[in-house]
Amino acid sequence: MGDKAVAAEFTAFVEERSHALMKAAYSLTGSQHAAEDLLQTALTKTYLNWRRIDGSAEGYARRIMYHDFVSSWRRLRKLKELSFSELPEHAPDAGAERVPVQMLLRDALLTLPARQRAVLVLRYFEDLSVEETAAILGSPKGTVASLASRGLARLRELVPEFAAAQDQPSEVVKA
Amino acid sequence: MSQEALLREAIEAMTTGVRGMDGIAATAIARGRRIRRRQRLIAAAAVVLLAAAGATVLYQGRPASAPTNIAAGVPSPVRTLSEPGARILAGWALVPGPAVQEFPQPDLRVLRADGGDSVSPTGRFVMRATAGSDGFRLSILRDGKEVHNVALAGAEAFQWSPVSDIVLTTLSNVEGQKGFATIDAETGQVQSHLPVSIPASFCGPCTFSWYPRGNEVVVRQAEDFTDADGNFTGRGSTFLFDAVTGKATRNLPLQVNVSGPGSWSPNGRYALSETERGSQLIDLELRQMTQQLPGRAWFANDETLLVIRSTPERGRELLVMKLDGTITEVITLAGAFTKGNLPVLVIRQ
Repeated sequence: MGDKAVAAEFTAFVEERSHALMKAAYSLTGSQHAAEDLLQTALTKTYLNWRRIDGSAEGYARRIMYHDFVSSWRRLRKLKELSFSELPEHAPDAGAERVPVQMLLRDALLTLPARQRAVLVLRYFEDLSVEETAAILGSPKGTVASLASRGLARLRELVPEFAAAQDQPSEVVKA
Repeated sequence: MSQEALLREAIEAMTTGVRGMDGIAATAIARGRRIRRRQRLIAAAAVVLLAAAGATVLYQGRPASAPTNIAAGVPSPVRTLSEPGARILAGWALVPGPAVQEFPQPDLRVLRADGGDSVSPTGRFVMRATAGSDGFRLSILRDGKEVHNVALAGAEAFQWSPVSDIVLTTLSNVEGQKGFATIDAETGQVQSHLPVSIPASFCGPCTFSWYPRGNEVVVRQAEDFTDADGNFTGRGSTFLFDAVTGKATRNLPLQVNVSGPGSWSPNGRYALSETERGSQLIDLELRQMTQQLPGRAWFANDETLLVIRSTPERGRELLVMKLDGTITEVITLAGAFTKGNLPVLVIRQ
């Protein structure tokens, strides 16, 4: 496949999937600029390896994004201070009574260490199983379960309303 | 509502207002092409460096009466010469230059290899790394003829073993995981170990290099350790792997940024860590830095360091230094090629 054909395929892929990828990047970083950086880097790596990707390009891009996010978490931890100053630009569609909880959860999520945050996003935003999450992060399943458990425990500490919710995510207790 | 649903809803809400990026595909393609061009440039530079090193590679241990043509394509004579000014210093060969391939000691000869080649420590083989879009292709040559040609996707940084005809290279796969491979110049057999089992999975710089005895390879783990809550629990380590099995053999509780066998004292007590400001001499038993050195450094032997110092006033100098920092000799350098297992120093005549 020539360079032009690769570029055309890649462009079509990005046009179709970049918004979903951007949302995932934003959920990790909590900042538009940091999310753009993260996604841009992941897409660049995806483009560079386009011919060698065996399977889903989106899965590959996501894997790179989560991996990069966790591996550069100390740098991103500095950016975290910025993320607190950025509020969502649109009010969520959910009921007004839950908006404060969502806001609190959002801020609490952004205070979590990168690996915990990545696990929670993968598990509860991307709807991935423990096995799939472990595969993306390159961590053992037990570690993923432990990170999810600790992350949720921390969220419950930070957001009492979250702790008061009716039940706990079922998979988390499987560690 | 369950916690799971609440959390999902919160993340959904958080990303509701996320903007897309205009032209993100074009930007990624442009960046990718720039990176690829840079990689090719670096690869080309590496070949040039190899050529520079190959032009004055030293060879120790072969009888002077059995010279071998080692250049690829264009055979180059190997000579045992008696260039004035060349001498042994603390076990290292200092060669007047530039481009002088002469050495007076009967047990030492300088082999000349034209082109971007590097000679094995036994002098029997030459390696030639050619950059491609997907990594390097390695040619192994003997007596000027190619005996093996190995394509290595994701390979970089080739280094001869300090003691045998084995080439070490760093590998990476599409997931960005790192490992290494050894290539036996005799048989052409490649042994890949990818990925290696570094506990925290991250390394940096992820370049594997030989440990002096030639049975282990080294890589530095760059990341600090944190627990699941992100609390700092300790510094990263330097990991050593068995060169044959690829299994981790031990780790040193220091982040030592080493470049090759010369970064370690032969007795294993000290290591030299490269920094932006020069090198640091680190006592591995005391686990602390004992000297800040003013430039790139190598162990000549257990007690002696060779340090290249560069100052605006005096230019480049080779310092012969004891481990306590005492400078015993200063030699003005016309150039210093440091690629490969030995520093090949070119002294101004």
